[in-house]
This record gives sequence, C-alpha cells and structure tokens, in this order.
Amino acid sequence: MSPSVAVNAADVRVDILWRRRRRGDTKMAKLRRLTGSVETKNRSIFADVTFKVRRGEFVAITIPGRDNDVLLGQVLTGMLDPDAGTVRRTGRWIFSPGGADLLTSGLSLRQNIHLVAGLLGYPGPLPEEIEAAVLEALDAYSLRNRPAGDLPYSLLRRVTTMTALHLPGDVYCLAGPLKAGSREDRRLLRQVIKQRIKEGGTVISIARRLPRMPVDRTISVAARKRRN
Amino acid sequence: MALLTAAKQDPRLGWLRRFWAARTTLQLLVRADLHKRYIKFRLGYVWSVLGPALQIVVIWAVFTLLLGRERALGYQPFLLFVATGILPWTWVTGSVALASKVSGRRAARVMTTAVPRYVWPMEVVAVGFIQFLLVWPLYLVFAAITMQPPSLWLLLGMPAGIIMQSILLYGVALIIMPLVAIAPDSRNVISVLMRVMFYVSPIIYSVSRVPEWLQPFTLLNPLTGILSLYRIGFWPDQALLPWYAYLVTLLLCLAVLAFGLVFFRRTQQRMVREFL
Repeated sequence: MSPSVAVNAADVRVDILWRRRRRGDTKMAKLRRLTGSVETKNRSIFADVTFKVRRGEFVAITIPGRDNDVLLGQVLTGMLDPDAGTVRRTGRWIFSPGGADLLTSGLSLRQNIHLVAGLLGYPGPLPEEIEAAVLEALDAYSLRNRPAGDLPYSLLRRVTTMTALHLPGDVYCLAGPLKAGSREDRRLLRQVIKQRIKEGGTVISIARRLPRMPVDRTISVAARKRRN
Repeated sequence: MALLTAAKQDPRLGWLRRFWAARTTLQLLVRADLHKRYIKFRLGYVWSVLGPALQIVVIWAVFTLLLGRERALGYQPFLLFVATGILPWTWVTGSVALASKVSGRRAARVMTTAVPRYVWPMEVVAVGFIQFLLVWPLYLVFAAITMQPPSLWLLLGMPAGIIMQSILLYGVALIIMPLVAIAPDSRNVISVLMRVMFYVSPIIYSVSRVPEWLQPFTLLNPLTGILSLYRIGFWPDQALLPWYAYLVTLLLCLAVLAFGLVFFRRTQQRMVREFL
C-alpha cells in the first residue's frame, strides 16, 4: 500500500522548496516547508505541503476544491508566485493545467498543439516528430487539420495534458490528468505516463481524486476556506 | 533542449531570450484572435474596412457638405486628410478596447503559463496592427479618389509612424491590462478618456489650426507627432513638423513604455489573482 500523508490547512499558506539531490544514480527533488502563503479571494487554500519525489516516480496529490489542483500546480511550477516565501525548483518542469482552456476554437488541432506547446514552455516551432507523437497518442491523426471548434470536447480536453507529456522535461506536473474521458482515452494517457516514468521522468498528478492507475505514492492535501 | 520553463528558473537566460522564444506562440495567438474576430460574420474582412471607411466618409460629409468648414480644419483634400487621421486612430481604439476586455478564468489560465506575461499586451497591439494593415489599402483608395498621389516621404513617414505608435500602444496596453483587472471602474474612465483623446488629438484638424499659443502644448500629445508622420507622405510641406517635435514624440512614447513596463511588473501578480 502506498503511504499517504494528510496535511491540514491551518491558514492560508503554502510553503515549498524544491531541492534536487543526488544519491548514486537517483536524482531526488524535495519539497520542504518554508514560510509563505497564497491567497486568492475566499478560495480554499492549501498549506504545509511537504513531500519529495524521486526520478521515475509517479506521485498523486489529491486536493479538494474546484481549480485548486491548477492553483497548486501553478505555484509548484513557478507560474504563480506565492504571496510570501519562495518556490525553488531544479530541472525542467512542465505544467499542464488540463482542460481545454489553453486551446482556441479557430485554430486547427495541429496548430493548437503548437500553441499549447508554446504556452507550456517549448521555445520556437515544435518539431514535426513531437506533433505526430501527440496526434498519435490522442488517436486523432486524421483530425489534425480540423478546426478545434469542430472537434469533440472529450478530445480537446486531453490535448493539453498529452502535449505536456510529449515535451522534453524532468518533472511533469499535471492537473486533473485522468479525470474525464472514455476508458480508451484513459488507457492511452496511462500508456504515455508509464512511458515517461520508464524513461526516468517524474510525473505528479494533482487532482481532486486519485488517478485510476497505480501510483508510487499519494499525498492528500486538505484545504479549507481562508480564516479571516 | 532548453525549455522556457527552464529559462524561467535559469537566471542566465534573459527575458529577451524568453520573449524571442515565445514568437511562435504570439503568432498563433494573433492568428486565432483574428480568426475569431472574422469567423462570426459572413462578410468577414469587409467589415473591418467598411467601418473606418464609413466613419471617414461621415466625418468628411458633416464638415464639408453640412458645415462647409473643411478648409478651416485640415489640409486639402479633406477626405484624404480625415482618412490619414482615422485609420491610425482605429488602431489605437482597437488595441485599447482589446486590452481592457481581457478578464475571466480563461485569462487566468493563459496568463499563468510559461510564456512571459509581457507577451499578452503585445498580442493586443499586434492584433490591432494587423487590422491596421488590413485597412491600409484605404489610404490608396482615398488618395486615388481625391487624386492626391503620395510622395516618397510616405516610405519614411509611414514606417516611422508605425514604429512610434507600436511603442506607445504597447506601453498603454501594459498599463491598461492590470489596471482594468484591479479596478474595473477604470474601464469607464478609459472610455471617457478615449473620447477626449479623439478631440484633443489632431485627427480631424491640423495642428496649424490650433491657436498659436496652444501649439507647443500639442506636442505633449504623442499622437501629434505620430499623425504628422502618417501625413507627410501626402502633404510633405504642410504636415512636416520641426525635427525636435519628432524627438519629443519618441521620448514620450518611450516614457509611456517605461512606465508601462514598471507598472505591469508591479501589478501583474495581482492582476492574475483578480482573474482567478
């Protein structure tokens, strides 16, 4: 059974420090508590998050509340600064907010893959190999030139996560990666996650529920409304 | 392969490099925005030309046919004079309107990505610029109608005007985007200010028609120099201002940009929080 850590939010603070160590061949990233906080209006906030991940590990973080998965991911990967404290990371981090918010209906599926790759941090034009691999993983090669507005939402909501997993990186931080889609969609996504882990990448799933696949470790973050 | 996310963490990679790395994304965003703008309408691009063209004709008709005041306002032919003022002005209004509309959950999502946030105001200006380029043939149409051929000054004045206007609008967008997010009421203030700017800028009148004692103060409006640059292609003798006027315009544009960069830097986190 995977060990589970419950973290209670005492206040509006998220205090994190990533540190990479070397133990023989194993690289390790550690998340440690520091002083700091994240406040957004009256939303549920997480706190006292302390955990570490190893190279080639699949970690699932569960956090209640709508959008809190994205918020935590954004803070972890430096897209959003905490109100106080610092987040330090090493290595190449890729964060996928999931959903289809980064996509644009006017662009074709392949253009959207390029757009998402750019938004997730890929510099310059995306190589055709990566584009083809994403399309293959989405099982949507024949739809590549169709406008996103004409495609089913079940496909569109997987584009961001699948693109993120195909970009070169060390840690893939995914918000709600397996929360929707058909059984086949989830199978394809699991396959890619397994592949990344096999290659030595670290995958962190942040969602309201546990992903429907075996994980190395789970971390539960309890969240509640801000106390004034 | 270097990633922007890595660049964010790596102090050796400067902001300029990240900006350059985001060029493909910027291009796609502009494309998507323009597509969204025109896909809804059957006439698509025609509307973006028709709007400013009608505005030019209406202003010309009011001041020429109804009031008979065209000689007292600007250079002749007055129709072309109005066109050279209205077309750059539509770029200003388009960019300001776009910058003040950015809001909501999607804005929060796209603004919390690996792309530097400074790119988003640039997208707003770029969309306005493309629309300006789309209506640019109207210059030639009105020049042909009024039989006023452009001079070689057009090749110098037009690019210089575009560069200065881009700098100015980028600075303005950097101020407006966070301002509207943090203080939504400012949207109404901006709307009023834009109306005021229309009348205090030499769009439908020339600087020479302003009372002499007020003329030096018109240089404090960067649009005075910018509009002059757009006009010297057609009226090289009348529209050309003293050299220091263009220097003042450039300095004003750079000052707005510098203030915008500082303001955006200080308020961007708060802006994103407001969108969340």
